[in-house]
Amino acid sequence: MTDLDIAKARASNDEPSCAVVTEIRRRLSKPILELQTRGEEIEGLLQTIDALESECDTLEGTIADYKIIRSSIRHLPSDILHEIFYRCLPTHRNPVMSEHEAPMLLTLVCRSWRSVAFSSPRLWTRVHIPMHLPSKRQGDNVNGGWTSPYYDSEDDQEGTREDAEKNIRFRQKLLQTWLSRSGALPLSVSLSYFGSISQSEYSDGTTLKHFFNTLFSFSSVIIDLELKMPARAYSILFGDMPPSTFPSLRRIRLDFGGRPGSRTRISLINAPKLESLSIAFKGGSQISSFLETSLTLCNLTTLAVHYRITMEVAVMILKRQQQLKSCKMSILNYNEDAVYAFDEGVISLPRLAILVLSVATTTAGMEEVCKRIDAPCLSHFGFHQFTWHYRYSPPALEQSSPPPFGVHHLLERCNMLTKLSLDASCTTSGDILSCLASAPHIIHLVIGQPYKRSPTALDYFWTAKHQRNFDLNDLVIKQFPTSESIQSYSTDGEEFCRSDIVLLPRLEIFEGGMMSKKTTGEVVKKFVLGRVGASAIQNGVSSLRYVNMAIDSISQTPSTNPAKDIQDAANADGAEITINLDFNDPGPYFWPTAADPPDYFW
Amino acid sequence: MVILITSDNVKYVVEKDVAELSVLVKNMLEDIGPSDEPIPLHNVTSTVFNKVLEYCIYHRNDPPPSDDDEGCASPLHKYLASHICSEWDQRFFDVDQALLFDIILAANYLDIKTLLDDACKAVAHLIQGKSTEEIRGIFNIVNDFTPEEEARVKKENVSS
Repeated sequence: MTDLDIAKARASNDEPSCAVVTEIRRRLSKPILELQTRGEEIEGLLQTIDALESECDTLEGTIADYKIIRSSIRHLPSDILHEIFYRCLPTHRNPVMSEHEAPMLLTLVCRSWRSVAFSSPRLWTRVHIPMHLPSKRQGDNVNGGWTSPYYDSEDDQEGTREDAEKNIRFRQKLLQTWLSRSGALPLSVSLSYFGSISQSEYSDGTTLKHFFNTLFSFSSVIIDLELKMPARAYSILFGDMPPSTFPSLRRIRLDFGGRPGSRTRISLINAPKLESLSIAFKGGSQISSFLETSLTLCNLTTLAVHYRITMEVAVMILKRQQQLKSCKMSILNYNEDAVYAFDEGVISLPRLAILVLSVATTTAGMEEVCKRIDAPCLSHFGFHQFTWHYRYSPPALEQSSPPPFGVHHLLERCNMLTKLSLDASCTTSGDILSCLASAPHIIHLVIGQPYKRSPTALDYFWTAKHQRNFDLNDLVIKQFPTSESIQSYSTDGEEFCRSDIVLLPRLEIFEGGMMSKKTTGEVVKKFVLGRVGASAIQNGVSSLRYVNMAIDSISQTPSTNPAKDIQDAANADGAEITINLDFNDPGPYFWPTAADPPDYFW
Repeated sequence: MVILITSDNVKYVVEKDVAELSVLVKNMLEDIGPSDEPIPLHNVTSTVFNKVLEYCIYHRNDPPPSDDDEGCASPLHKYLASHICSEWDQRFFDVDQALLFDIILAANYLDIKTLLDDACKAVAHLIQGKSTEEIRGIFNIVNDFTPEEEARVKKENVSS
């Protein structure tokens, strides 16, 4: 039997002969045996691997056991652990009394952490208390449509009044323990109250009364108090409290739902050491007269009024609060054609460093006020527009002729101004150029509302307005700048286009939101590269360090990556600069409705 | 220039303003006066000191730290610190846990407050948003509560 015979048998479908079958059996016996051997070898190896893996698991377990003992965190002295724990607290708000958040969370990890956390009074000096007490009667709406700003994050909105009272009793004990751990350190307490309350049930020694008695037992060391509640609830809970109850109080933030009653007085504003007041009303009408009476006695250094006041009240506040260092106000004049008769003399604010004004579209009185304010220390000025007039309907985004506000009258007297925030959608190009020319010391310029990287619908509400009256070309340094005096400008802006004045020679930070279609990648490139590194030295200006701009991508879609191109060119020029250019398509915006009102603008 | 020697005998020649970010070194320089004598850093190895030095060089022009809000830092410095330096710091502290804790111990020994603060923030960042189980896993911490203790401490925080 030859290989040829076998090959023939394989090539046909005929039944093989006995000789062929015998020969095949003979030939197969060896490979079958070898295959069997190899299979056994593989099985043996697999068993070895399993055994090795098992050994590895054991060794890893042993190593992990020792690693636990050698864990790096065990080597830290307790004072450093205190520091780390302190850094675990939320920074933008007070911590809540929850096992899911520091400091409470830290007490549940192990015995030593629990001991360190309890022995660190600093961890227990801040607390936020969300409270919800449903009405005894079904269907009552005691809040005037107002809801707590913490509403989404608070976990006790649902349930019966009995459940809520039980919860309040529990929190009362927790609060007592929490604040007792703070030793004698100053406290910061924020409280949002959402629910039903009446004077009689509060006075009759209810659960709520006990809770607030616990809180008030620490009132002597509270330096920072934030209250978010219906104005009516404030009147009952805090209304009769003499200012001396909070002898250490320095900062108070009040966020009220509903309008203040005619007899409402916020006595806490007159706490003896109060320095900072932030006050907001939602769903109320104008609060001018209320503020006029409440702000008579206090002597504030920081004031933020997050609701509309008239020009007269704004002037009254500025005149009375001469110690102000920081002031933010929102001004609305109901009568656009009103002529305001101000007293003679200047509004002297010798310590004012920050002034942020947000105005409606009306201009009445603004120019006159800007002429009268004397704020020699002003270092940051912000001027924005809020869209109260079209609160529930879209505004005409491209207004034909925004009014001049005359802000430059103020700026040209402020030699220390280093930061300017301007909403370039609400005033004229001439006004903007006048402002830029009036403040040569500016280091940080913000055009539009500060841009947020992940705008929510609400952020977009405030950044959506195209900054059409600002032209970045005005900040581009021309090829051969001259030292022509800046006094030669005219307020219509045309003169600037013809001259080669270098605006903002000290600019280091530029931020712009919703830049118009005039702001192409090429213009940004000219603006940045003329003001960085060697070019900056050559042009006699400060080197830009940070540029952050949002450009409407509906106007233009870049084919390349202009930020990278500019960054590369700046780096090649030896300049250190950070550039963010976002070509942003915000998509359709859903305007606020009465059921989903807009929030504050700062 | 200042000569510093780490615990593993590695010599560093460092510019004085950078070295003096360490209060320990600054005090020693003041004590010994003008001298070419190297300053020994007994508790810091070269591996850790390389990182410390990298931080000090990057932050050499920062304004001095202050406990209050009004501090020494200008608004511009604060702004740039929050917008630019924080990205650099984030990359700087993206190291293995053992090195991160060694940096903390070195910053504590050398008395470099800003580095200590920033490193503590980096550790805190590992803790924030995690459950107790996850925290134990991250830092190799044993749950040494007895079942009774654990039930009791949990009950402290839950209204029943």
